[in-house]
Amino acid sequence: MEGEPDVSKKLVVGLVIIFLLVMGILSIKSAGKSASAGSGTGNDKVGVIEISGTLAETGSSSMLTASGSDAEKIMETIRDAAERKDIKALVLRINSPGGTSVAAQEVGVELDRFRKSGKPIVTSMGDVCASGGYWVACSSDRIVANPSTLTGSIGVIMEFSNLEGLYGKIGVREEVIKSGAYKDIGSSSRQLTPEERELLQGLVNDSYAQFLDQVSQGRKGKMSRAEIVKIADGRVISGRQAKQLGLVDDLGNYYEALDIARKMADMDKDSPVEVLNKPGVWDSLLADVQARRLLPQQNYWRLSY
Amino acid sequence: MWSDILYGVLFEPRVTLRRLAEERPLAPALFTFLIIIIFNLVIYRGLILQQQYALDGVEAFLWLYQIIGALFSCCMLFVMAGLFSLLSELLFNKTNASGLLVCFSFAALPGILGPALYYSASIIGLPWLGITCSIVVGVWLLVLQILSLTEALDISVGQAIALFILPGLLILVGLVVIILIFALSGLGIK
Repeated sequence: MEGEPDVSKKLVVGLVIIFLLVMGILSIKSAGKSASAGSGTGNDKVGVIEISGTLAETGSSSMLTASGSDAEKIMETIRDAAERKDIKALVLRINSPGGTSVAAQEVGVELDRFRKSGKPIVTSMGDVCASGGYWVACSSDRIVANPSTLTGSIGVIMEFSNLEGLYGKIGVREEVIKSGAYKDIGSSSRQLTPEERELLQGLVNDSYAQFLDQVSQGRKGKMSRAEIVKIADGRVISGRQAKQLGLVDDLGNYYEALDIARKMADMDKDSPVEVLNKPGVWDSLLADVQARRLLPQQNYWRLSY
Repeated sequence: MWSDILYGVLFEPRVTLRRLAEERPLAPALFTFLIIIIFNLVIYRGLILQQQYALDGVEAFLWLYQIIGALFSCCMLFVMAGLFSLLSELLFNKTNASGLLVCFSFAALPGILGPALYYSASIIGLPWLGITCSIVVGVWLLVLQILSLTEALDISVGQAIALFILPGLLILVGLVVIILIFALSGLGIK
């Protein structure tokens, strides 16, 4: 360190710094590529949206559904994908037993809008893609299932608990002041009246008809409405059975679904894939915390697919 | 000045570390250490993602793990400087905590080369070369830390090595004592 460093010292230090800078830049680029999970090098990408667990609206999740998919976030991701020019096709990776009717409908409508942009959607079914999960799948151009995927369960359910007997045993009696005959419909302190049952059955029937409309629309040209009605009794079927019946188009795994999406969008075979709704650090942390939440949020009755 | 120190630490470490221990440029030293930490954070991220160690869940937490690791390294720098200075005072009656802090900070300089060399070797498809470079850099770091102790505390190499392994030795002895206590209580010997 005597006086100014000579030229050779400066040169060595300069070369070291340049080497480090080059490595740093390469590393950042490499990390960016890996984050997009793509193997290819082209600009066009296949976007993947993962729908896992019970599908529900924001804030309506209970202890059981907290680890599911948030419909609002999924819709936002679909909209972003529609606006992005580099996303040429979408693959829905569904692993869901269903969810609330509104959540499934909202996601379905947003997918239909996406398809109007001319970009194809392919559904890849995971372990389970039933009920509301199948509703969403019907808004895609092609459905790919694994042979042992559990699917179907086309139907609507509304459940109430009648705790009248228990309340009687512990001496609880509910006093109700209401403005109309049906205002306390579904109350846990008494049995449903025949009129209430009829009213709710009508509601379920209407929702069921909407489900049939969605499936008929999604399987247009592949299944008639009569054929759908025949199996739309809530039964769960395997992916292979679903293929035989016409509820799915192909049997295959996630990668085959990606290949089909690439083919439909006229993309290169190795075009990269980007998972569009990958959870961030805090999402992953909160998901774990929420899944173990002890007290459910506000509990109200609703229709579920 | 900075390029002079950089060159000196890499190629003339003894003279440079002695000068640093006397002058104690604390701010440049800590700044240099921070640069090393941040640079390594970026390189390691690239390395991990390139080699696809990171599955989906891990990738989401990678930044968190790395930031915790970086904070731990910063804490360890201060702990090491303080601890070795204290032990040296007890054993050799010589102390220079701030000089040690400065020397340890600059002695970490080769640490910036290790991951970068490993990364460049993995890019050109020679992972064995990367591993060799990492081992060499590891030894280099160890030598520089010993030299930091000798120059900052003005002690011999033997004393520095003894000082360097002392904390580990104490932990080892402590562990053996604890194990022995449990083993003896398990045998019913009081």
